[in-house]
Amino acid sequence: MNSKVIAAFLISAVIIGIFEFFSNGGSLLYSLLFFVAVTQGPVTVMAAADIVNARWHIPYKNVMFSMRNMNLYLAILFAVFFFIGQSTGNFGHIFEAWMHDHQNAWLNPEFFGARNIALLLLAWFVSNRYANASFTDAKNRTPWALGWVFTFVIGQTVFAMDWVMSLQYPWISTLFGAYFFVEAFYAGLAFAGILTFFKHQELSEAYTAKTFRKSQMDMMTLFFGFSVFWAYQFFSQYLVIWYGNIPEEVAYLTQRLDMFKWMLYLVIVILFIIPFISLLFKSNKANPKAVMGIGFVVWIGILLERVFMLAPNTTLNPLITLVEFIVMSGVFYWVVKNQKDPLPEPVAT
Amino acid sequence: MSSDVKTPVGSGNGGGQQEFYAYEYKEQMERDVFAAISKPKPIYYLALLITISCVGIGAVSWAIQIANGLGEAGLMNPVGWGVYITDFVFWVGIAHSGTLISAILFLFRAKFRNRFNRTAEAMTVFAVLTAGLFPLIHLGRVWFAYWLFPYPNQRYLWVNFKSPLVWDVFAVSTYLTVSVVFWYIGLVPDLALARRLKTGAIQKKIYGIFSLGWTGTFREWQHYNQLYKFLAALATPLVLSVHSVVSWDFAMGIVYGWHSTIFAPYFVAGAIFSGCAMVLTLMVPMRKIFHLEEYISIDDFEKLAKLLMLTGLIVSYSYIVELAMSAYSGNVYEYEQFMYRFTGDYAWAYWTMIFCNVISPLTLFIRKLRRSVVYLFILSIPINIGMWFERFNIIVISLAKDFDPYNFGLYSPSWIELGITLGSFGWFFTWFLLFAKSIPVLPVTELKEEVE
Amino acid sequence: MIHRFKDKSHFMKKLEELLEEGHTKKDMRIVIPHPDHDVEHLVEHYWKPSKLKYFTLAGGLTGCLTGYIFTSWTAIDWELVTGGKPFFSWPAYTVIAFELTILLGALFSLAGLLVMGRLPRFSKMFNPESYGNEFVIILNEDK
Repeated sequence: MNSKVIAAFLISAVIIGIFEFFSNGGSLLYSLLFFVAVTQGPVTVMAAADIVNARWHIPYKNVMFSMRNMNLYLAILFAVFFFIGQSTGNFGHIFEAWMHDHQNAWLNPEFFGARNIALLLLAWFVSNRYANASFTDAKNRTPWALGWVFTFVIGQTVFAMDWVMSLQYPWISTLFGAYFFVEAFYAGLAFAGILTFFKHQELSEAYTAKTFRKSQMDMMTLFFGFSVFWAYQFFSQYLVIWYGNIPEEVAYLTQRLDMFKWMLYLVIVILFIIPFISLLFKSNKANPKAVMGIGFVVWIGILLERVFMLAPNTTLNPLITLVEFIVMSGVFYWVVKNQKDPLPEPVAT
Repeated sequence: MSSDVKTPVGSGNGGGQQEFYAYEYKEQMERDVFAAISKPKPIYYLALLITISCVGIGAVSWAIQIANGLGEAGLMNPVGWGVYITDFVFWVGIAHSGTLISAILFLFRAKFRNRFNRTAEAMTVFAVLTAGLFPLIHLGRVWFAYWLFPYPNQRYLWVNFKSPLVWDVFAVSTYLTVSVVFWYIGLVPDLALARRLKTGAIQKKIYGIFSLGWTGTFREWQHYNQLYKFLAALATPLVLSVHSVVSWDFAMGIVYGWHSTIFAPYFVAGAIFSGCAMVLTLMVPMRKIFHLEEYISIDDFEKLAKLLMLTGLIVSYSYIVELAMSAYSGNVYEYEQFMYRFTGDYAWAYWTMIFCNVISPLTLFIRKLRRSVVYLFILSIPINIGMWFERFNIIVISLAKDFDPYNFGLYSPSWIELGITLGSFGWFFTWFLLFAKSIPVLPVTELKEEVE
Repeated sequence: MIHRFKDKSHFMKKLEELLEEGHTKKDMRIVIPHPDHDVEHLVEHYWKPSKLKYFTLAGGLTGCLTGYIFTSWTAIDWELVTGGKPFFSWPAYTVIAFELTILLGALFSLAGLLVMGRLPRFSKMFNPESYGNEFVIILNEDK
């Protein structure tokens, strides 16, 4: 991690901080929700493959670890969100469901801020250690991969509970944490699709076109499988809440469906129907342009779904949200571009 | 694939010597696997006698229940679901691992699956056959079982398709059908082998009929390979969906401890967990008794152990999340339910489950233990006990203490219920013993493909 | 004429030779002891690939449509309100439709194998000619 990247982090954090003063607080939370998935997901895809001693994922290592330092940036931004939110009173306003009457050992601002920042820093630390072990094909890469998976699962579960579920306290959904980390994994696979297009030339030369194509087919098959798995998670949650129709639980859905029912259907189409049908065909899986398109479609779906989750409980100022999102995307792009990682040797099978 | 088996390496470009070795190896493998299904020793008949006696006990218990009514079971208000439903979910859960091993690991091209898939698929079929008995037993008036299926009738009534119990009918029937088809299709080339290798005239005829006249022409193989791939692709979502539907039998209700969105993936992970344990229980002794050590290596068992660890961790995660949510939500009923599980009348069952499902699989982090088949066999027993108790806890404890204090009550299984549970184990093992001596326990044809 | 090979490499060479000569399904029969990726790739280069996938697709679609249509029709055939849910409750019916998709997909695929693979083959059930673990090519056989 070089000084250019650190400078980018700090300068953009200041810019976003300034915008946060004028927002109602939901905007930064929205962008954080997207980037936490896209930052942690790809590394988990690699960890899953490393744990089972697979070989197909090696050509993708160079790209899938490239955003790991974003975890530090997210920790900085969360601190910005927390401290500026506290000082403007926005934080208390967003989380009023528990802030005023229901504070306890778990739900109090200090612990809330501390644990989220700590988990993001931990993710940054573990992802870097794991990436180093993975690039050098070290003997301890499997334990570090396992360590990353634990960090990821605990982190994503806590983020789901804290950043979304607590907005609607006392609403609970036991699947929510798992739903979040499956979506992050899915976003990671979408990232693989996107970068397949941009890095196609470079990786085909480094690993031979045949090897990379095989790797691409495997990654895209996994992508296909996860579109089904995402739909399964989504449906499981929806079905249980819809069927039980318990007032304290179904309010989550009815509030959102009253506001924008069309969005639910659109999300299902974007995150399941389109990737499922497109990735059924071998020709699409092999086509870098097609998989890039499908990857972007999935990211748009995730963005839309975050709106679906957040909108009733926060006010998303469109202009400020857009500016913050663009700044963060810029930093993301900058981090990925400037990451100089090795191209590990594929082991002969 | 690393293995302590002397697998000849060669992709068809090697010299004649090397390729000849492949041919010899295939012949030897046939001999070894078919030696296992030759005339049984007396101890086999003893084992069969024991399992059939258990079936007998179960049958007598069921007969008593049919004669005297469902009151023979310990089911009462408020606990209307007890040991029967526990057994049902237990056996369906065990079935899922077989399909995971044969279908999902096939799609992931995990070679170690070829050692286990025949036995695992057989386990699946027999487990579903066993599970399928329980909705019938639980009905009480078994002769009305056909009411569960949609058929036009004089009263213009249809089944309630919105009910998870009806989803169950469709899910389990589909699972039974697809598992049998998948298992049978995998078997056909091996049955053709049996037709060739067996010497008894009647045996040859029977294997001949069941082999469908398979001769291994290219046309047959071409369609067969496609079918196998598609069945694997279809069976994969089935693994997820069938146990999810079973979990929704509980999650669709509003009882606390049941109404939880995580039930679907939690139950699926638990099913694979208990199924892998049962595969270990079956295959470790079988490998020893049939002298198949050359074909199933320690590495293969270690991979299965890793799958056991993964699913065990997912189950532990689910326990933690459910507990955390019950405390977090501030909902007094949810909280009380979980406190009751820890400290109430059935706390012994709860802590047994925690010890067996959460603590004991953690020992697999030690590499030496993972690679000891004896230890894996020993560990598989408490895991299955723990998983049985998990279902018992979810069903009985949640029902014993739900909303209205006046409606709290306890449940203890009657002798009839325990007899039928014993009978179900007997039924499963009887089928398995019959399988082990009549059908090759390793998928010889698929293993031959690996050799080339 | 019957060519029998104990090892695969010689078999593949001869097979490629014969396929290049232009032999088709009609005058050449190939018998192999176990499925083989290389053989399949080679032969499908010259002969057509399997059409089993259309059976699967047909089965899947039938199952899916039947699932939704049948369940919805029965709900409005006799309008009984159960559980306060609407007559056309798509979440509930999705479960049934999904199971039927898989069931009929699998059964139609099996039918595909039986139909296209010409199974069961009664003439070969008892004592067919057997080549063991050899790879065999049979030419100019009387059908």
